[in-house]
Amino acid sequence: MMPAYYLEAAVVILGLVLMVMEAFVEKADKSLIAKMGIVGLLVVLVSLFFVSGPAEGDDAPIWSFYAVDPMALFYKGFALVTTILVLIMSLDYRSVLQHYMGADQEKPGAGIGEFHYLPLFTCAGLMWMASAKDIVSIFVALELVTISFYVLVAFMRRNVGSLEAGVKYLILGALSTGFFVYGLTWLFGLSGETELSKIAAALGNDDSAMVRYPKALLFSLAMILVGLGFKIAAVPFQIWVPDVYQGAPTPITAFLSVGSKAAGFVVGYRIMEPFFANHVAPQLVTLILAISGATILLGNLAAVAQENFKRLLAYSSISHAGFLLLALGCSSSTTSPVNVEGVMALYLGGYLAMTLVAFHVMCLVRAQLGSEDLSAYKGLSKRSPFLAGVLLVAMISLAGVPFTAGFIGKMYVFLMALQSRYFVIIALAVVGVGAGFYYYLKVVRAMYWDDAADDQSVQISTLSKVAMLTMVALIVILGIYPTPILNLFAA
Amino acid sequence: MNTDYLPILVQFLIAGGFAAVTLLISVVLGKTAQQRSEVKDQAYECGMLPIGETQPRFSVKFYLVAMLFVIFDIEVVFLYPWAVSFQEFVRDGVWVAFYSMLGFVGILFLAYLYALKKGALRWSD
Amino acid sequence: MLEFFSQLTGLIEPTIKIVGLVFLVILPMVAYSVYAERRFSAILQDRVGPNRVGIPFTKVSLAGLGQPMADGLKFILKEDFTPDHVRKVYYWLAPALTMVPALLTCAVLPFGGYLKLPFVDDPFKLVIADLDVGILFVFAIASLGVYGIVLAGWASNSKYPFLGGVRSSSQMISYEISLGLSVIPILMIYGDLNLSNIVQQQHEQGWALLPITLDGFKPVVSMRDLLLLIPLFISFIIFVTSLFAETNRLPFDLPECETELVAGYHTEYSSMKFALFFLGEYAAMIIGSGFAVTLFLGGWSLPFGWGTNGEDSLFWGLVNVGTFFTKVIAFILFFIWVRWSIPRFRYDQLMRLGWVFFFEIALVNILLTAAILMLFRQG
Repeated sequence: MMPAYYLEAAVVILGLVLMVMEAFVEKADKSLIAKMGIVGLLVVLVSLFFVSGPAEGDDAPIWSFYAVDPMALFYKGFALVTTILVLIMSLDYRSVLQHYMGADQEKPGAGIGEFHYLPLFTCAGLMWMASAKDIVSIFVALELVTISFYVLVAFMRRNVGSLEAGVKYLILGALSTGFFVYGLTWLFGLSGETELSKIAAALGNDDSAMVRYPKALLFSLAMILVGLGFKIAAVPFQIWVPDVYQGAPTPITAFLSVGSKAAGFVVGYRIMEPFFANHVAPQLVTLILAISGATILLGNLAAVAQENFKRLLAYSSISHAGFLLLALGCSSSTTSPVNVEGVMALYLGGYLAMTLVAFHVMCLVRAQLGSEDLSAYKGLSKRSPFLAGVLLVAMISLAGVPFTAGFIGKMYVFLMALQSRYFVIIALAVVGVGAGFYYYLKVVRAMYWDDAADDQSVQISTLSKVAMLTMVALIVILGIYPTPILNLFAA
Repeated sequence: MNTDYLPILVQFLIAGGFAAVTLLISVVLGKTAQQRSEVKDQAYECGMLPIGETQPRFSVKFYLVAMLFVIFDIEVVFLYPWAVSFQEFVRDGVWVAFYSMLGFVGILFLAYLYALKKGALRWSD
Repeated sequence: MLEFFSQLTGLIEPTIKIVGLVFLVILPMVAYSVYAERRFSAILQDRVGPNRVGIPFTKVSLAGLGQPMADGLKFILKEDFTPDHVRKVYYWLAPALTMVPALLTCAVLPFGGYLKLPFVDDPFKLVIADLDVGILFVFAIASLGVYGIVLAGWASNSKYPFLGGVRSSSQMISYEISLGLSVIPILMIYGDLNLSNIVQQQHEQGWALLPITLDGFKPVVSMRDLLLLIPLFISFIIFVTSLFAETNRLPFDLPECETELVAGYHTEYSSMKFALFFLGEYAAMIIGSGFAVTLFLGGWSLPFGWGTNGEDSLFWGLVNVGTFFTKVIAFILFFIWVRWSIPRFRYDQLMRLGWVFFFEIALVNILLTAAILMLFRQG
C-alpha cells in the first residue's frame, strides 16, 4: 500500500520524463511518446487499486487538502481511463495534426510531440481535482487542467478553426476562472476557512457569517456555479462549446467533453454538498434546476439541426450536462436507496464510454475520409462494419435505449427527480430525450441506410479496436449490471 | 500604522519632486535655438529621411524571453523565503526542506532544459 | 490628531537622512563619477581629458573639477524640445521613471552603522528605512527601472529608440534572474533579508569574501567559512557581471550601442530629459556598487572585525561612513576601468551568457552552498 498522492506524482513525473525525452531525442518516432504514456498510465491505473489514505494518527499536512474516499478514487480512475483513450485517439489523429503543423521533411513529426504528453499533465490535474477538498488545492488543480487545455485546443496552429477555438477557450476560460475564484473568495471571507470540511462544520454554527448573511452566501455560491457552468457547459454559459469543440483537435474535444465535465461536477458536488442540507438549500436547488432545465432543452433542441457530427456531439454534451445538473439538484430531497454521488458516477461512467467511442470513430473518419460532416458517415457500414457497429452502440446509448449505460443513467436521474417531485423539469427532460432519439438516430440512419459516395474503406489499428471494444463492452455491462458503481458509493 | 515604510514615502516624494523640478527648470530656462520646422520634428535616422514604419515588427524571441522571465523570476522569488530560513531547517534537522526545494527547482529546471533544447534561447541564427 | 503630529515629527529624522544622502552624496557622486569616468578613460587612452574648467572668471582650473557643474548648467539652458511625432505623456514620464526607482532603492542601503551625536541620547541608525524585507524591496523597486526604458523606446515613436528599448528590456529582465539567484547564497548564510543585520553579521564574523577575524594578532578562520568562499566568490562574479548588464554599462551596453542604434532608447531625447536618463543610469551604478559592497564586502565595516558599529562613539561612526563610501568609490572606479578595457558583447552572446551560463551556474551554486551548510551543521 502506498499513499494515494503518489499516483499524481507518478503521472507528473511520467509527463516530465516524456517531455525531456521528446526534446532531446529528436530522431525518435513521436508516436513512441504516446505509447510510453499509455503504458505508464496503465501501470498507474493498476496501482490505483493499491493505494491507501492516511493511516491512523497520521496528520501530515497534505491530508487536510487531499481526500482519499471512494469518490476520489473513482474519478482518479475515470481521469486515467479518459487520458489513455485520448492518447490512443491522438495516435489515430496524427496525420491530421501533421498536416496542420506544416510537414517538415527532415524532422518528421516535429512539433507534435507535445500533443502526446501534455494530456498527462491534464490527467494529473484531473486526478488531483478528484481528491481536492480545500478551495486552494481545488483552484490549483483546476488551473493545471485548464492551462494545458489552452495549449492543446489551439494546437493545430496552421488551422484557423483551431486557433479560433483556442482564443475563445482562453478568453472564456480565464473569465470563468475569474468568476469561480471570486465566488471562492466570498466563501472564504464568510467562513474564514479554506478547507471544505471546516466550512461545512462552520455552517452548523449559528454565529457564522454564512448563516447570518444568507444573501452573501448565495451570491458566493452563484458565482461558483457560474464558473463551473462554463466548465461543464451549462446554459447560459454554453456559447463557447460548439465552436471550441468543432475547432479543437478531435482527441482534445473528447478530452474536454469528458474530462473537463467530470472534473467540474466533482468539484461542484464537493463544494455544494454541505449547502444542500442548509437554510440556503431551496434557493440553491431552484437555481440549479433552472439551469438544468434550460440546458437539457437547449442542448437537445439545438442539436437537432446540426449537420456537422462534432457540433452535434457538442450540443449533446451540453444536454448531458443538463441531466447531470438535474441529478445534482436532487441532492437535498432524494430518498431513494441510491445516492446522488452514485448516480452521477454511473451517468458519467456511461457517458465516458459512449462519448469516447463516438469521438474515436470521428478521429478515424476525419483522418481517413477528411471530413467531420454527417455526410461523411453515409454508408459507413459498407466502409467498415466494425466502426459502424461500435458507433451504433454508442449512439443508441447516448439516446438512451434500454440495456445500455445511457439508459440506466437517465433512468436513475428520472427516478430521483420523480421522488423529488420536480415535474416541470421532468417534462422538459422528456422533450429533450425525444429530440435526442431523433438526432442520434440520424447518425445511425446515415451509416446504415444511405449510400457512400465512394468505396474507400477505413483502416483501424488493433490498439484502437481493442480500446473501442472495451468501451462498447463497458456500455453494455453498465447497462445491464450497474450495481458495482452504485455499491461503491453506498454509504 | 506601519511607520517603517513612511521614510520610503518621503523618499519617493523627494525623488519624484526632484525629477519634476529638473524637468520644469529646463522648460523655463531653456531657450529655443531654432523655430519648429518639419525637418526638426522628424524622427532621427542618422540624418536621412525616415523610411517605413516607425515601429517595425520585431523578433518573436523577445516575447519568449519575457514569458520565460516570468516563470523563472517567480522561481527566484519562491527561493528567497526558503533561503532565509534554510539554516533553521538544517539546525532542526528538517531535511525535507532541502529535498522539496530540490524537487521544485528540478521541475523548473526540466522546463528550462526543454526551452533550451527547443531553441527558445538561441539567438545566433 | 496628536498622534498624527508626533508621527510627522518622526519624519524629520528620515527626511534629513534622505536629503543628506541623495543631494549631498549621491547626486554629487553621480556628477563626479562622470568626471572621473572622463579623466580615467583619458588616462587609459593616453589623452588629457577635461582639465580646464575651474572657478569661473578666474584662471584657476583645479584640474577641471568645475566641469560637472558646467555640464549641469548646460543641460538646464539647452532648448527643451519635444518632437511632434512622440507620444507626449509617456515621453515625459519615461525619464522620471528611470530616475525615481534608482534613487528609491538607496532607502534601504545602510551607509554606516550608528551615529552617536553628542548631547543626544539615542544613536541614529544610518539607514533611511530599516526594512526587514530589504533585499526584496531592492529587487522590487530596481525592476521598475525597466519601465522607464521601455516607455522611452516606445514613446519616442522612432525606429532606433524602439529597437533599443526592446533590446534593453529583454536584457534587463534576463539578467535580473541571475542577479536574484546570485544573492541567494548570501541569504542562506546570513539567514536575513535585512541589510543592516547582514552588515552587522559581517562586521562581527568578517566579510563575506574575507571571513577572517583577529584574536589579538592571530587570524581566526573556520573551515566552514573557507569552504563557503567558493560559492560566495562565484556569486560575487555573477552579481557584479549582472550588475553591469542591469545598468547597461559596457561590455553590455547593447541597448545604446552607438554603432548600430545611434543612442538607443534616448535617441529622441535632449536637454534635461536626456540628463535624467544619464543621472538615473549613474545613480543606478552607484547604488548597485553600494549593494555589492554591502552584500559581499562587509558594507560599512572595517576588515577583520576592527572597530565598533558606532553605537557608543562618534569617531567609529564616522569612520564607518568613510569606510563605506571609500569602498563604493573603489567599486565605481572598477566599473569605469572595466568599461574602458573590455569590448562590447554581441547580442546573442549576451543572452547566452545570461540565460545559459549564469542561470545554470547560479543554480548549482545554491546547491553547493546548501551542501556546505548541511555538512557543517550547527547545533
